[in-house]
Amino acid sequence: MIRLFALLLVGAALLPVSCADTGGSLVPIEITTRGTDATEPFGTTTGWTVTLDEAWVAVAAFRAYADESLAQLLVPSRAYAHGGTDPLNGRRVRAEWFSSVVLDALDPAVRVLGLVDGETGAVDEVGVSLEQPSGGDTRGRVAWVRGQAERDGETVAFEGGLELEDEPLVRRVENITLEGELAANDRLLLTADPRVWLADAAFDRLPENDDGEPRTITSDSQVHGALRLGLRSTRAWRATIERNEE
Amino acid sequence: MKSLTTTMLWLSLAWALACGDTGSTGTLEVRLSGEEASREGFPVGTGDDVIAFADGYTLSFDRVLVSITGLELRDGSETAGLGADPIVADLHLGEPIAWTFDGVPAQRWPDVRYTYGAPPSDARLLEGVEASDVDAMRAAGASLLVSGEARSTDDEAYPFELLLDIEVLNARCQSGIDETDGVVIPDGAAVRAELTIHLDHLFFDTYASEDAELRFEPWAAVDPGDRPITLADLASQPIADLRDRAGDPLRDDGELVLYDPGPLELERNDLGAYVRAAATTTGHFQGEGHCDYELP
Repeated sequence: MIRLFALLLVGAALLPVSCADTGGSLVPIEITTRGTDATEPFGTTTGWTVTLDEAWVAVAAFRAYADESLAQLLVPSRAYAHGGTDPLNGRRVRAEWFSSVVLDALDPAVRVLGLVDGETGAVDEVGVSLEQPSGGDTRGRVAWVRGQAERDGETVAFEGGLELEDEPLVRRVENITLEGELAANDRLLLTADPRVWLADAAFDRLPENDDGEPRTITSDSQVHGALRLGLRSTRAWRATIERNEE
Repeated sequence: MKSLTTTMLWLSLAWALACGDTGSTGTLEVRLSGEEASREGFPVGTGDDVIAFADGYTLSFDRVLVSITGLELRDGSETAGLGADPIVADLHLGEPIAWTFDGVPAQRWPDVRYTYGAPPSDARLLEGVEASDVDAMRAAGASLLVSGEARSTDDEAYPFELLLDIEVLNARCQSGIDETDGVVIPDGAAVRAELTIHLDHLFFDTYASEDAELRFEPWAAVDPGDRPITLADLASQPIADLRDRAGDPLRDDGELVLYDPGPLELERNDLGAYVRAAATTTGHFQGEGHCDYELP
């Protein structure tokens, strides 16, 4: 009887292991950002050639999601204290930066934001949350751009910013591809590419200023709509994992 | 030896109970529905639940063909082993029963998943489905064929025919009846489940807000005149610069209309790509229950 009881105890102890998955371990992950060298003029779908002098974007947070394609073969995993789950989409988060940062989207130099406690394991996507700070380089907008556009001999100087309503789905960019495995001391790099922001802009639709100043991107303009689509496109962002050799 | 065998049996039962397999079974009947809209068009509904076009169009469907190439019930790594065959149904004709499965293990299956895909050669055609339409779907790689006609407020008719070449796994579907995950197969009894296709999604102007409007004016603006509007026609409308039938920027109450794809990934920023991406969100479960949409 005692032997039977002992066997049942052993069996009971083994049950959670046979039905559950194994999670990652907590490790330091370096969070970095950078812009894109867009000093060369670039083309748009609307036939304009654009040169950017300024491009800023305000980021509230960004996160690397666990690749759960293999996890579907197992019992759903438990959330861990630092890995966590994104409440808006229920996805497991392996690493997250959640302090506001304004990116100079034209500066290709890597900027180190800091270390976070991340979870080892496979990742497949990054999500970015945007914000609209008061003042600063984005002039109180989510993003700010200034430059010139040229088409068929016509040159339009422009400047202005993107305003987004404070709705979760509006201020998030999802599905930014990131394939790899997070390991201790890795560097997670988020890159902003402003050349995509104005890809569909019709600069001739901006109202001219009487004093010859740059045309303003107003919130009711086609260019503002193009900026809204472009900046929130996955093509405007890249995410990579780099092994930190330091 | 006898006591060891008994012990192993008890351990096996304990493991089976812990991991959900009790040996009892039930019956699952699966119906397909495009809801009232697939049969009556738009506007549809009554009172506060009316679904109508914001720009005043009315719309009727004449074909709503959907090709389902897979259906599974999962609980972690376990599957119910349904063995569902691929089918094509016309939801404009009604709400057909697509499959009846006997001997399904009785338990909650939290992961109901079904796949939109182009119909394979052995697809079973449900009642009323024309083989020629299925051939057209196959040729286009389409899992959805949606056709009909919209009418403007000035009574102009705009026929359309969309062959939507999308492959989507609608997974981890939540029940629209009680908001729980998946479906419960009762012991010794039958349950009916419904794969619900929401056609209004094809006409939403935003996926970044719960306050989407249905619009048809940008579709009508690219009407070729001598044949139905197709996805290729819609592709001539950039969503960053939508035009109305007069060729002017599309406005609503004086404000520019901007279609917002939200989290949908578009191949291009045009209305054809937008509608194609929107189609990947039409699959639901038990009415309003959402699924996770996985693309290959």
